[in-house]
Amino acid sequence: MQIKYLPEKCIGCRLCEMACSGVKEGVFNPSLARLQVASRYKAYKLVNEAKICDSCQSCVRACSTGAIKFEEGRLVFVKDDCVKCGACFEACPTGVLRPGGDEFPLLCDGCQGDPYCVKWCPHGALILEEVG
Amino acid sequence: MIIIELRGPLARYGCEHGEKGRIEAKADNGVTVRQILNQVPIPLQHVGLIVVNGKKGSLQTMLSEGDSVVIFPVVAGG
Amino acid sequence: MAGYQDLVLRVNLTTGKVATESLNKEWARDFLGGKGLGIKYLYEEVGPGVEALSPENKLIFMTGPFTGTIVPCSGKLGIITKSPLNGYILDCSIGGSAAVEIKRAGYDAVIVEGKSDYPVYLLIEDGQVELKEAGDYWGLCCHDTEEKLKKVYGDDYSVLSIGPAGENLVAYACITSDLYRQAGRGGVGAVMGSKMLKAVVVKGTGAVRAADAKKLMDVTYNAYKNDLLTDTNLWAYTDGTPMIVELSQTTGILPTRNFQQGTFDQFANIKSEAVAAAREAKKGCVSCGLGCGNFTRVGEAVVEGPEYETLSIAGSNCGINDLGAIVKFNANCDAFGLDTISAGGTIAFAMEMTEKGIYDFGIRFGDADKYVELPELIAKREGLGAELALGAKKLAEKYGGIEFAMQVKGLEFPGYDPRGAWGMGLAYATAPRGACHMSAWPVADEAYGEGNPFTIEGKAEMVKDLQHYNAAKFSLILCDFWALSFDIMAEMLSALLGEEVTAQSLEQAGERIFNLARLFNTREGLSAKDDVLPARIHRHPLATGSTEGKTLPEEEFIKMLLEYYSIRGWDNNGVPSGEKLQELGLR
Repeated sequence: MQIKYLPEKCIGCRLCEMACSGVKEGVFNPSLARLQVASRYKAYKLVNEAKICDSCQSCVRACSTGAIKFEEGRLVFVKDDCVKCGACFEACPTGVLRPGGDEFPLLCDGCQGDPYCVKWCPHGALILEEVG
Repeated sequence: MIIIELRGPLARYGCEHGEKGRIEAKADNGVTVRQILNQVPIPLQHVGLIVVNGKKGSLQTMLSEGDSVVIFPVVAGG
Repeated sequence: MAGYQDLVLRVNLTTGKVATESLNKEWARDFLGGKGLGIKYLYEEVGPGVEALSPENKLIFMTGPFTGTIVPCSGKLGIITKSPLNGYILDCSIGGSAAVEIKRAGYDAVIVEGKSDYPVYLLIEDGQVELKEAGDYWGLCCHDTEEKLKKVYGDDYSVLSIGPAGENLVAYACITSDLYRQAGRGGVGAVMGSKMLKAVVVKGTGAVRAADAKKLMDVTYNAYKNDLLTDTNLWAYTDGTPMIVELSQTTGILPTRNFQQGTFDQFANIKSEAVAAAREAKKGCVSCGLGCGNFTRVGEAVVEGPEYETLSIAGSNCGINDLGAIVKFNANCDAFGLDTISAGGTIAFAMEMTEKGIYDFGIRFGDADKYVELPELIAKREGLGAELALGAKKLAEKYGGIEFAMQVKGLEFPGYDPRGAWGMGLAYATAPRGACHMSAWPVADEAYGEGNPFTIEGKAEMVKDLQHYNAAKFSLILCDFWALSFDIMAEMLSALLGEEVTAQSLEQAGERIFNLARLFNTREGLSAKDDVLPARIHRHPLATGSTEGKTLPEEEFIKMLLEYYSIRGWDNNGVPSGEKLQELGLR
């Protein structure tokens, strides 16, 4: 399963980011969310954009300590194995992977198949889609 | 024939000839707005202003051939 | 304290001093946040007799306990100051993203004091706060100001700005944010202009904490799915406020030709379906699950709107039946920084004055070409605009026609004719800032619902209860468009704070806040003589539709007003009794 973003349905509420940080970090802070959504007016047009992890596994390949793994169809982060080298951030092609306050990567694990960002999206801009 | 238009979120309760938010009903003798809404059905707690031929009506308003009805949801805040 | 950042940013523009202080926790408990807490701070810090446009007035930006959390519809910012229209309390709110940025920057409130000698803007980046010279921005329209500042700082900054109207101290200048959102009413933009503060630019990267985030999410998710995202609130998404045009037309309260009629022949041109046809996208404030904003384009003109208040007061009420003209007028008001309601109301008054031959302002009902040019003239106080900048009341005092200058306490009427909703008349007369639809909205029941619009029976009680409800809701910072119960508010607040808050205590907080606003006003000399409606409402019967022949008779109005004072525990002059103040902890 993959999280997909439909920009034409997004109203820019950012409840997805609030829910993500709330459930993963225990505080509400879009800077600590595992996805990034922006809905802004530019040149008198509404532009909706998002960065969402698509499990491309570039971070898995870049991780030299095995702290980021891909197991049973989802990404797994083992904090004890992470040396905060930052290679995963460099490798992430969308830039969705970024460090949290403690510099560990804010890795999206898809909430074990029931992502909070999708649950909180009011008008179906974030959906779960079968892969392949 | 009575034409009923459903406004706002209530539009999802009706579809006639592919037109969302629109239903047609037969003008049976003494049919009321309430009876028609119950047939659809539309949850009555979400029904706000009822307009019959451009005037404020109610669930009890009796309808007849050619009437046009518009159903609005309950609203809050302006 | 969970839900609050416990920090107030205080900026003195006279001295240039920027400082932080602890949030007064006792006040936060009693007045919640947003509207209520802002009124409390202003009540304590700005005494009677202070001129609204003097350096002694303060401009308070206040977030709420829910702001920046998962609680939906909590992303608005309260703006509280003394009103330049009447010297009474003025509170407004603005949507968009600014409130969440201020809270994430670490502050519950920003209090702006004094007056700068030269134009400045306030830059807030988390703990870094700086006053910057704004000479290059002074004179620019709101959109240009915001775009220019975002070029310097980035698209992820929020900007609150004023346009030329605020700089030129027009009494109904607004504050704009996220290009298309306004704190419209009562002249908050003029207060900002008087301080030479062109803009606030803010970016926060911090967190907002709940006592138990998981619990707050669970409680809130239930309310979100089963209460917010239901047929009762989703009209805000499917249509937004333009839906109200047809409701008002049907019930005969759609202001038309300066409140001479309650129906508009060409209402189909300005109703929801017409707006939806020109809609490009939907947009909500940060944390909103509804998304009432209609991003609309007609020709070159773009707005997030037009809202019902604009469609009615600046549309039918000015005899304008062309949606394109209304959108253009709206876009011009946004750009130059004017409240569309007061601008529309003042113009409609000038139109009637001209048509009646009392004074020739050179503008008549339906004159769309001239009307769309007026916002710029008003903001710059040029030509006819210099007169219209006074607002309807002062214009009437100068040229006559006070009986049909549709205002209370100097604030122009919003879009509901009280002759077809008698409780709304009481709401206008007793709202602290003047004729206002945000203090209470009884029309939902008495006009659009099952109630009887043409009676005073039960209306005093209804208006009182709604005033408490809105006062509590807007202090917690929850949007008007979520018709939630006190129980749900209490449940979410309890989870946020980690301590039990009851529905009853929130209702009482609403009453406390409303009474404190009244105390602010009575301290300025307000009394029953000011809780009045324009004579037209009592004496001129409406001419068309289901309200044809209707007035709100003066003796009925006075009866309703006295009943209202009595059930409030206020004396016949509208002053809260010592006993009531004791009960509410206001003494």
